Amino acid sequence: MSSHNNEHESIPQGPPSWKEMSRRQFLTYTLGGATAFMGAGAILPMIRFAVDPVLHKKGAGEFIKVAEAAKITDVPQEFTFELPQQDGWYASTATLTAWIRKDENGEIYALSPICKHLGCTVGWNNDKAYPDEYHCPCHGARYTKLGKNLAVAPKPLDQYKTKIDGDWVYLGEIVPNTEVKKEA
Amino acid sequence: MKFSDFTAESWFENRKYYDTCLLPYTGLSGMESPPEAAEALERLRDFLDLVEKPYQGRIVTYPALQYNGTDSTAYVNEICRKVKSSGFQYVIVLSADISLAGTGIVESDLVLSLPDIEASQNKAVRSCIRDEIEALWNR
Repeated sequence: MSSHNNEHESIPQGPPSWKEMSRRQFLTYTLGGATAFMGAGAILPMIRFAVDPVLHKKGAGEFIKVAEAAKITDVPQEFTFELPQQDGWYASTATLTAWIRKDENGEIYALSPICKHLGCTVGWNNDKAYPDEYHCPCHGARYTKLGKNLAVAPKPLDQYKTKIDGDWVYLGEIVPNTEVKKEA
Repeated sequence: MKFSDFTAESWFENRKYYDTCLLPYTGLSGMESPPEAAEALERLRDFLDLVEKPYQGRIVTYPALQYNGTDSTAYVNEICRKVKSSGFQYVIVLSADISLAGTGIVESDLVLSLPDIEASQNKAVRSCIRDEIEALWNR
């Protein structure tokens, strides 16, 4: 009888310590882990699919061959070119226009014709009242050869990133105008 | 800009800059098969691009008039008149498929019809459109 009482007293009472996982905890952790693993297996491919366009490098589409460098003069010339675009999963081709010119130092730059007022398309020398300027037919915004805003528009014309390679002019993305600052 | 690009606030703020309304006129007869109707709309879209993009700061494109029938001219004239009474100074009616020359759309300030332009001009369509629209504004 006394030996039985001794055995009973030796069984630990209360919650198990961290070293001794209970059956309930073991089942909870195992089922939770297995559920999380299976859930991740289903959800991760969906997330990867959703962010796929973001993970693609811009790559080869950055610069487009547009014009022969030898043909660029100090008078702006209009060039049209095709730019492959990727909008999410939708691939398309945009037709873009650039006014390309060589400055006094022989450096070639290309201006975007999109007016900085409300987005109409400017033209070179298309208003006889203001010769040798870019003019917007919508609300009369005017710009210098360098794209500096003279009237109506709040900012200078944007320009394309430009690269000369093998006697060809390559144009890249549209960036804010830096030619006006060079002049100043 | 398309009519749907404006909110009530942005229209109230910028309406003074947009004095020209562009009314696309598809000119469907109702006899077209679904692919033919889709092609007609694609031609209209491509022709619209030549007007919308260069002048997006002054021209507002309204919803298209899709069908052509016996009283279409009177209907188009009525729409033009109402659009002008709402505050637009100019209305341009544009069609990629039907000739509008001599159809009597007298309430519009300019009619741009691709078949008419191709039949009468040696110039590129793009430059013809530019000349016509800028001449309208400089009258």
